[in-house]
Amino acid sequence: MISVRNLNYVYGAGLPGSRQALFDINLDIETGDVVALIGHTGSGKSTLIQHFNALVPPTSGTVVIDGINVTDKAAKKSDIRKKVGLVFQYPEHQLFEETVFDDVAFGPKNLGLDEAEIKKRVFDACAIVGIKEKYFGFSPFELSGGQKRRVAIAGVIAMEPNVLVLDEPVAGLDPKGRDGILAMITGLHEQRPEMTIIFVSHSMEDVARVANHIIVMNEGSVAMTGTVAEVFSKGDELRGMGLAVPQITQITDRLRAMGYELPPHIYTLKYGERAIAALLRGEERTDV
Amino acid sequence: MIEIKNVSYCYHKEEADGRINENKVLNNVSLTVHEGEFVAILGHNGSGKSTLAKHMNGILVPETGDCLIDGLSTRDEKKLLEIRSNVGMVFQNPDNQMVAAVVEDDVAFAPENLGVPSEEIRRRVDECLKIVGMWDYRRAQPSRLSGGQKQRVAIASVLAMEPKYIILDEPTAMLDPKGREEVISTIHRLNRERNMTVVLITHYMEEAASAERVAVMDDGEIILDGTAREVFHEIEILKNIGLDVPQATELAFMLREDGFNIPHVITVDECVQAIAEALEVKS
Ligand SMILES: Nc1ncnc2c1ncn2[C@@H]1O[C@H](COP(=O)(O)OP(=O)(O)O)[C@@H](O)[C@H]1O
Ligand SMILES: Nc1ncnc2c1ncn2[C@@H]1O[C@H](COP(=O)(O)OP(=O)(O)O)[C@@H](O)[C@H]1O
Ligand SMILES: [Mg+2]
Ligand SMILES: [Mg+2]
Repeated sequence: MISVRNLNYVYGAGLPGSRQALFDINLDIETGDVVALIGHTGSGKSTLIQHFNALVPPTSGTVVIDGINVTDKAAKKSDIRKKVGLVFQYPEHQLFEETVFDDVAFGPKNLGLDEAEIKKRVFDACAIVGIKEKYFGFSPFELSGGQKRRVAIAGVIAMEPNVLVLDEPVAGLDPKGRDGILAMITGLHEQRPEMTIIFVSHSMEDVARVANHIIVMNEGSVAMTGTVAEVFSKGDELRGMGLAVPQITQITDRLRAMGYELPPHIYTLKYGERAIAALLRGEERTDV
Repeated sequence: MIEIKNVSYCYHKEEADGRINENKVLNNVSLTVHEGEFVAILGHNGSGKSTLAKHMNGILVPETGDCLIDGLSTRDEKKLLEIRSNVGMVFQNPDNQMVAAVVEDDVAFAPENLGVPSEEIRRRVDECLKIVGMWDYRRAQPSRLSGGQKQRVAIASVLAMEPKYIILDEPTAMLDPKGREEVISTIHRLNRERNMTVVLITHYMEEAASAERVAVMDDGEIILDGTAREVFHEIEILKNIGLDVPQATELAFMLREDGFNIPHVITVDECVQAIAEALEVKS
């Protein structure tokens, strides 16, 4: 459980040209949720998630994760980093070890685990992200962009955090690379249902596919929170904040506005297609 | 006209043991972009799109084959300056493209380097910032702008060279939906109103669907080249090489597979209209 209370953050506080990036943020995220964090660029998403593992100290307010106040200056950074794994944007730029294995093993080694446990963690993490054993001896630089990124994510998963935070994990990837990362998030949630996963994304189609909750940031404040259905039912508000809804939702919203009877809350292609097919067959609305 | 004729290109990498490793990235690629066209290029990561783009303004020179810009070969070093002033490039990350501390200085930078007279520079800076809708921000610091705004300034900086051709390499990869929309509508307007020739590399299928023509790269080859409508009709080929189609296209495809009479579409508008028509016919 993550509780954010009255969180404010100012870049360069007290200096000329200082800039407030977060305004009085209050949030509760349940353990085991898969949460998408969306918002225009500059809305404060990256700044917010850096508070989750004590990378930046708040100007005021608190973040409490599973009973630990991570914003308390006295809290041990190493304990927090064990609990909360943060995958930065373009994490593949930070790969530096000679082999894939060593890169993924880097974090667990720093935790002081024994050889056998380190090995187990590397195997488990690579299985989750879909990096096969035959690549363990490769240099990360011999891999494709999507593979590199998965190696970088495996390095954080191998720390076995309770909370995994990913900042724009699919940015710049092609559709297949994107699918790979999204399938990984879904698979991880199934295998480790107690892990809380928070990811930042600009692709509403992707958000609809993997998240169960959405947090919407706008100009440094939380503008909306709710289930995927709740948030995507507010298409006009989202557009007003420079966001969008998935194409399938645009299509079904327009058909509904033309007077056709479609169930509410359509945001995945599969469900949308079934609803439209039922309408074309002249079936009664089923809302399944 | 940009003519890429039977171009092949290898990157060479020296291994630790001194062996030279050859990585063939373009394999006999031919592509002609006519004046006034708007061409989107799709392809998975590593398929060679950026390498191809860098051939279009002579950053890279073909190993075999030729690349001609209005008849000038990029092999001819004496013509390189002329080629570069005709072909402007915009890259993925707007942060790496800003050189000055103030927006208008950034836009003036390239023409200054080309030795354009200062009155003419002033005219171009104002004009280009207006075109991309950033004139109000001419005195702003680039670091204070949003991603979409920075990318529009980067486009203005390229426009200030008054190129005939503009090549954009994933210009929207780092932007939010609104920033993406701003950049794409800006380049469509340039294409329409100024007859600027556009080559747009993108991973967003909806952006490609808005282009006249789409070329698809796979492992260093162009495997599809046609109108957006034709290319997105090849759903299975595209999915096989790890690409996708717009959701509107896929929805219509799924409905056809289920036996409904829905035509091939590539936009939300067309899709809504097609479904509404099918529902009318039924009732
Ligand atoms: N290091 C920094 N120094 C000063 N301002 C910053 C810094 N990083 C971000 N900002 C500003 O803080 C705001 C929020 O940025 P960020 O958290 O990166 O947003 P997002 O991740 O949603 O794009 C923006 O206005 C941005 O310009
Ligand atoms: N400067 C470089 N040196 C060596 N190999 C490179 C270089 N740039 C790209 N490559 C390789 O060439 C291939 C094609 O890359 P690129 O043209 O960037 O593809 P795309 O833009 O479609 O992702 C990739 O395998 C990539 O690793
Ligand atoms: Mg960010
Ligand atoms: Mg590229």
